[in-house]
Amino acid sequence: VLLHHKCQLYLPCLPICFLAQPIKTFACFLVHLCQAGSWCVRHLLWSVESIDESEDAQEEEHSRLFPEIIALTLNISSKHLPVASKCIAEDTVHAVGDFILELLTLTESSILDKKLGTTGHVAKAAPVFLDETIKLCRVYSEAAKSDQCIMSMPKEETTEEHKETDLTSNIAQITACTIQSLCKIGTHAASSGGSQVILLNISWKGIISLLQLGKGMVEEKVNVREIILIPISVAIESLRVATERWCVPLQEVLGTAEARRAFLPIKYFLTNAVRICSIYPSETMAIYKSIIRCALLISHSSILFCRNPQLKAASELLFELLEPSSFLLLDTLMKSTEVSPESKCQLVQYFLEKVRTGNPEYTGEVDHTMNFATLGCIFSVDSDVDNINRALLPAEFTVFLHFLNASPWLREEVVIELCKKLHLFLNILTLEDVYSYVLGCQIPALSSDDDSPKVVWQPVYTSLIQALKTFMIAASSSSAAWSEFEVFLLENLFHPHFLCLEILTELWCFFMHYAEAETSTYLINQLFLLLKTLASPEEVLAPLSALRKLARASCNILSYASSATIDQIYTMLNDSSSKSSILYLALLMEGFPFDSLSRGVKEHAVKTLFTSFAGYLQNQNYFKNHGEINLPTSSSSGIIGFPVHALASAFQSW
Amino acid sequence: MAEQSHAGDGGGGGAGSGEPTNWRKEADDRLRRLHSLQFGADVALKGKDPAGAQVLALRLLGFLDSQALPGDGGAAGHEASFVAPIRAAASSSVAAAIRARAGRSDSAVFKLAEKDVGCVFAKTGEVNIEKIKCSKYFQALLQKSKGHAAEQMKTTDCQESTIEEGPHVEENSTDMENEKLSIRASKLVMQRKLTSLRSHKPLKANVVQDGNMFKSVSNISNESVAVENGVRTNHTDNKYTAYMDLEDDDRPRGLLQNAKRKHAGFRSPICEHANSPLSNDEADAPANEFVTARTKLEMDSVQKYGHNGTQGASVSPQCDNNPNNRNYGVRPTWNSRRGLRGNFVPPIRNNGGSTSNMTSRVIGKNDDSMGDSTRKWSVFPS
Repeated sequence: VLLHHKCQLYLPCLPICFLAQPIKTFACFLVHLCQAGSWCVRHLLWSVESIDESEDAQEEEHSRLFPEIIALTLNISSKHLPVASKCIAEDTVHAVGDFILELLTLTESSILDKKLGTTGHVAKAAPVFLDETIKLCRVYSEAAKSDQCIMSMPKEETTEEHKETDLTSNIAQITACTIQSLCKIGTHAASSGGSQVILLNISWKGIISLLQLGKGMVEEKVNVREIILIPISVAIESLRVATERWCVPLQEVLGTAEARRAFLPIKYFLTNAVRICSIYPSETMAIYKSIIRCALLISHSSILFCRNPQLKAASELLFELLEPSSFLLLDTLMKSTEVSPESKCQLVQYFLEKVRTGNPEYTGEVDHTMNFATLGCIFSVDSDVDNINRALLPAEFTVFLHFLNASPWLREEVVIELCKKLHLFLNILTLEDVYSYVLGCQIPALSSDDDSPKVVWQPVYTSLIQALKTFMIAASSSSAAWSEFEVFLLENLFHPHFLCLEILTELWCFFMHYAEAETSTYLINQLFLLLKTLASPEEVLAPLSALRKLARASCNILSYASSATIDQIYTMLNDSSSKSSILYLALLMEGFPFDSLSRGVKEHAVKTLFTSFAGYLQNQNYFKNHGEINLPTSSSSGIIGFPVHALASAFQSW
Repeated sequence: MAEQSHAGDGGGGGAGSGEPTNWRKEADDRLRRLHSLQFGADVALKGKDPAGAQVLALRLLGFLDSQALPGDGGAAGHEASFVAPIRAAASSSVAAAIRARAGRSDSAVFKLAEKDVGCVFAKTGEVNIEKIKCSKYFQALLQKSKGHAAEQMKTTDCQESTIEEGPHVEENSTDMENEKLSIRASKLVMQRKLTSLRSHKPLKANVVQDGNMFKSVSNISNESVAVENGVRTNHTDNKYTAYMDLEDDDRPRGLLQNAKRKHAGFRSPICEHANSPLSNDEADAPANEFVTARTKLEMDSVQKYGHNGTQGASVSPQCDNNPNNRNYGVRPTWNSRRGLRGNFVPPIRNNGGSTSNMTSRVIGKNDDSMGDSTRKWSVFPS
């Protein structure tokens, strides 16, 4: 009876307030609204603890009336908030602050309540109120920034400064509380499975706009880092659900519509994260490990989908919708002028950091069948497990490729850091997981042939080579970075793994093709100086020896050089030293580009080969006739039959 | 590694009911994979899919490296003669694919880098070559190269014996492939023979003839130095070899070894005579005299085996008494001694363990880097 009586009592009072003059009695009016709000909150709590002894008739009437009261309160508040934005004074702002806090609490509680949140009244009134609150906060923030404060009682200068500080602090407090409430509402709306799109849009739109306007004021009162993590966590969770649903034997091929329906919400949350990141790059850099992990998980899902023909639609849509957003998170950090170069280098250093190619664990048996346990483990928050690091290696490879592709607009310090990471990056290619992914999988890529880019599928290896070449062009803009890259080119051409040798050979060919004559001649001279040091008589006659493999790579590289450069190499190799002769023979056996020599040098080379061969034959014949046996070191190279091998090999290439 | 050793055992033995089946199945699987990769790369290249061709060729290279058997890395590996051509063809496919793909790929790269296609590498950095030489990959290869050089001393005789057969075959094939060259070579040889026949001092004439082959004085000097070094080096090798021969003779075989040595010694002159295809009747006379003299020296060597001092003393007076025959006196002595040991050493070296050890060591190094990453090649169903 008491509860019912209170409801009856309040209803007639509310209309009277509409007659009051806004300016004169606004504060008093707000007090009443505030009381109404707090009453509703307390009443909401009571309803949770309702007593069963109440009469059914009263319960029904109460349930019907209560949402109406809340909606009415919110609606009245919504209509009067614009009035508050016209009068910015300390006392008014303070009163409005208290009022908003109370009503925000009411709105939060109403929305989060399972019963009230779904009623038509609250569902309509809450978004309107939130929208008006956001607008008010924006007006307050703008006013605080432009110092357009109207003091109600002018006093001494010291007092005025003090009041202004209080005013700014009040506005910051209001904005911060609004942001926090919006975060709770936004999180709730996000986890509702898309049934509250209106609330979702209003809350996140408000969060971003208030964070933007409140920059410089709200950092101390709002934990921006945690706010950024909200959309990221929601995105990862949604991706996990989708991945688990699809990475089981499907009855039919996954359709584009279903994939799009699953990915669009994820893209929405990633986009929100990108926006906050662009406003607060320093705060985002503080949680860069979480940003990286988000990118890794998205790349990991991409790799899973690429391996399954039934998930082709998912692969293409993930490439189109999600990967750009996750990479944009990283790009925003890398492009921001607020983030220090040291922080950017730190982010790059974090990649591939946990990879130790010498660890036996990385060379052990690998179970390639993905199961729920593995998926759950990967998507869990605990990311310090070695198995997770190993499973995410192909994803790290993919994200690192993106950095290489993005290097043209990165700072010099970051490019140098990436260059130092290339050695480690090359080593993980020899690990089985990454190796099988690079040589065994195809991924979507943008075709650059047509004017309008479309998605085509190409080998991962092709993307790898393109990224490395792009990085080469970026490194060439900086002397320091290019010096570092030259070391990479020279050192890793001697890598024992065949795949690394092939990659380095292709990079060398690219360099020779697009380098100035002086630059290419200098570097290839350094290469041949190194090769001469390695030349040995035994290896030159073993087709599978390291020397022969390097000789073949060198011949491929020379085929991109100019005639002048090849002439110079030929002259270097015919300096009568043993090492030079051995290397020269190896090159002849592996396809020295004779046709590319200039006319005069080529004639001399051919003549020398024939002369050596004829001389050798004469010596051999003479020794046979006179019962002599040829001396093993008759030629300077220490190889028996050197001229014969040389001429025979030259014949093959002519 | 387990798979490889199992395959090796199966291939070698062939005993038991289970092993042949497993052996054949495994060999068949590998052969099919080899063919699918090989033909796949060719088809992709012809079908104007250079990117696909490159990946298939690279997978073939990885497959070959992962299936490397002991001996492939060494100079004496027999399987290398089969694997090397396939590997060379795969490398050529990769190179062809790179060229075929270069235009479009490079355009895409420059577009991504937001630059016009053209000369972009214009900076010449100061490369610290010594730093590169200290890098771990280069040092690994350098150590392996030096390892080969050290082993060369132990296997010199073995290699000589092995390589002496090779050039002969290549000579035939070369002559068949190039008739003009053969004719020219024959003429040169005939001219030299005629010159030597006319001259009263054949050795001097030959020296002059050899000198004509070089067009500068420095070359002649180099040749002389090389010859002297060669003689000295071989002399040292002979001593070393003699010591080894002594040990080998005493321990494994005893009297039988002696008998075998005598037999081999007597046989060598006839073989060398038969291996002179271009000799004529007039040339036979001097050859016979040389053979006779060498036979005498061989007999002396056999009788006085083990008395190096006496042998040396016996040779020196002849040289002093006959200045004109000094060169001749030295060469037959050296040759006869080397011939004797040359006939004995190769079989022992080939059967010994040094070659196998060297080969397995090289293979071990290769396996460390390549085997691990390509061990599970079954991941790629074709």
